[in-house]
Amino acid sequence: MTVVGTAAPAGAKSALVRSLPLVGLGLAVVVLALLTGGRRTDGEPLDPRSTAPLGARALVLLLERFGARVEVAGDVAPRDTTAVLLVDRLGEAARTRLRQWVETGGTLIVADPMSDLAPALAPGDAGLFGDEEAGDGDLLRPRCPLPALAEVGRIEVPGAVPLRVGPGATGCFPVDDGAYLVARPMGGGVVVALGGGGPFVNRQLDDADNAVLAVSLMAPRGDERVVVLEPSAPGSGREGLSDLVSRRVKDALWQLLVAFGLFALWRARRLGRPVLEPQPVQLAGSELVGAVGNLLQQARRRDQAATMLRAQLRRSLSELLGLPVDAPPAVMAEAAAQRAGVPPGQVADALAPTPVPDDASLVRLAQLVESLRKEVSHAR
Amino acid sequence: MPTGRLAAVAAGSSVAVGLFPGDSTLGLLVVNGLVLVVALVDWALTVRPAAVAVERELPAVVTLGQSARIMWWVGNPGGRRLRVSLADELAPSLRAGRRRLTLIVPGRGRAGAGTDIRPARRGRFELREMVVRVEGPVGLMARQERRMLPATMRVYPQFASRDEAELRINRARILQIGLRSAQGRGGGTEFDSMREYGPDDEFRRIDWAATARAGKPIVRTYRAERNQTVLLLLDNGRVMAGRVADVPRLEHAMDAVMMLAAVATRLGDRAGLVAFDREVRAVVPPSHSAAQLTRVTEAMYSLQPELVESDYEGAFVETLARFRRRAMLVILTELAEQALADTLVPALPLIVRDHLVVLGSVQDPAVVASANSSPDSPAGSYAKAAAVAALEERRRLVGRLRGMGATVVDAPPGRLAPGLADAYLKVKATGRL
Repeated sequence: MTVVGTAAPAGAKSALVRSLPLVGLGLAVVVLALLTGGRRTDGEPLDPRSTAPLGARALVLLLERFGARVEVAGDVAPRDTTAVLLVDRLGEAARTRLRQWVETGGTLIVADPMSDLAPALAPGDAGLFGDEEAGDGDLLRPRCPLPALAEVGRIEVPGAVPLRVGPGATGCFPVDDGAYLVARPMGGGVVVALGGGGPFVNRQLDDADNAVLAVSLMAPRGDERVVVLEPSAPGSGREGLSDLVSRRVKDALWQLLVAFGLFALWRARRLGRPVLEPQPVQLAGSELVGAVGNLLQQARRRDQAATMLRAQLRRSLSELLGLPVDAPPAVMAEAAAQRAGVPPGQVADALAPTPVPDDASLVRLAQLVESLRKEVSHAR
Repeated sequence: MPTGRLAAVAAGSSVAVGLFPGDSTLGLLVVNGLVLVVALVDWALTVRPAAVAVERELPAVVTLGQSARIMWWVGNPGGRRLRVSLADELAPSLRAGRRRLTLIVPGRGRAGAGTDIRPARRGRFELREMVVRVEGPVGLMARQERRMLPATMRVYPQFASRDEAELRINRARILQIGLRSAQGRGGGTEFDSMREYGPDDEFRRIDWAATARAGKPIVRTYRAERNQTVLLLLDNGRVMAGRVADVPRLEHAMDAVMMLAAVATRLGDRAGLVAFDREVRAVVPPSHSAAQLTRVTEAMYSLQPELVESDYEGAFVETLARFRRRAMLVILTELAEQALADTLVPALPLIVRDHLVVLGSVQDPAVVASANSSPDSPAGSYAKAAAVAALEERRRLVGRLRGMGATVVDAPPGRLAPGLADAYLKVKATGRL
């Protein structure tokens, strides 16, 4: 018994068309990465490199003016004497390293009240507007025994919050139950926490005694090595993409890789080799003639070309008018004028062996030769 | 080998891997192990391609310009339905609709599919092998093998001037059997038969002896000589490789060869072929059999222009040594002065003495158009000058060859074969052979 089956349809799309969506997707990813990948450098508040109103570049310059060697870095080095943490975005490991550094004798100034390194906030209203006792509005006075702050009069601290003064710690710029500045020893060093970095932004640094506070805290002697810890950009932590992706997703991706390998194996062995065959010569019969024309042009052999064209006209006219090929141009011109009504001057001009000064003249001659030939042959 | 389905299954099982309970990579191993086991079983159960019956049906001869059909048949010896993919060794210039296909073959059954081919060039096409791929019962694995299935297909040149040939054969026959009065000097010179005098017969044709015997006027009738020889010398050298009207000059010359062979054999003459370049490539001895056109075509179909200088003298010597009778020698070549001046021109006197020599060549319409153009750029003007010079050179060469006693037919594409056939018919009519 013979049963006739069916043929599956043949795939007709070319490989190029099939790969277009993939190429497009790749391009889109690259463009997206370029658009979103660049880090903004001017807009971060309290960025020690930023000269924007809320940046902290002025603080760095101020400290340098007072003799300190200031460095903006992501981490402390053992030789540093003072570290300034304006915005705390440290990872757990970096924070641990910072604590260890303080314990070996460093001075840490934390201007971020939300930092783990700062003490807890004081109870009550979060807002802190000023020293009510002195009737100074937004301004605060030190009111504390710390000798370092002896020269500081009043400071302006907009948007700051009071910190709780814990046991063993010293609070300055007191407000309500807390203080704006809390200094507490840690190991061999000291941590000075502030209820906000507001006094150190570019716009506020020259208000009241803010600059005096900065210098008193960070560069009291003038030979300190200060490191301003840079607020690290989002995504600059030590955890990579692979740490964030769960194991199941990773396993699924591995499985997709296996599938891709199988796909590659499937496509690698093609069904039938390409068939080779000898290619016939693809040379136009008129190639030689075209090449001669090109050579004439490149060698600027205008006169030679003109001679060829005139010879053609002479031969055509002699055939059409029944004259010998070597008849004088005047005779040919006259015969052509009689038979076809061609102006005799044109024929004489075309046949005269005058030099051809430029390519435009050659084009004119070629056109004249052809029009004369046609006129005479049509008149017959 | 794996199939696309196995890859798809592996990709799909990534979901299973992701949802696998537990916190280790055990899921990856378990899922892949399962897939591997199933794939191995599938592979073991896959029918070997050698066990599948594969056939190819293809025409032995195709004429260029016509289409033909190729069929593939696959027989399934087993009871299970098979999915079989085939790839045949069809050259690109056969212009097949497809050369790869997939068939679903029922158990103990047969399935077939075909495609149309429309060859783009003539010649001999050798098909050797066919690649067969059989998928397993689940379709996860496949086996692939090459099967030797040698076959040959010949693509014959196109006989574009067939209609023109028929026209001339019919006209010549009408003249022969006297349905119309003969023109020119004609009527032939060979005695044919005697018949009763008719009013239009010439007096000089009356056979008086026969008239006396019969008691009524009897005339002799004559016919054109038969059994004369037309030898077609086909140049296969470099000058024939250039393309004119989109095909090599050789194709135009082959058309002329076929037309002359058809006309000559049908009119009772013997036509033969010698194809040559540096050496003689093909020889068909003159014959007036009806199959001569086929023999000539068969001898020519696989010729490709050789990029060498043709040896005319050697070809003439070879031809004359084989065929000594006076013949009409039709040389199909290109009238290129630098090629012919050194070889053909010195050799021509040898053969013009004893034979009637006709040279056939195809004109390039591109050159003629360039020579008759009215250019509007310097490049066009120089091209026109070059074309004019080339045509002039050609004209001089034709004049020189005619002066040596040869007949020259230099015609545009499509007119070469009719022009040569007309030249042949004229030669016959005037009894010059």
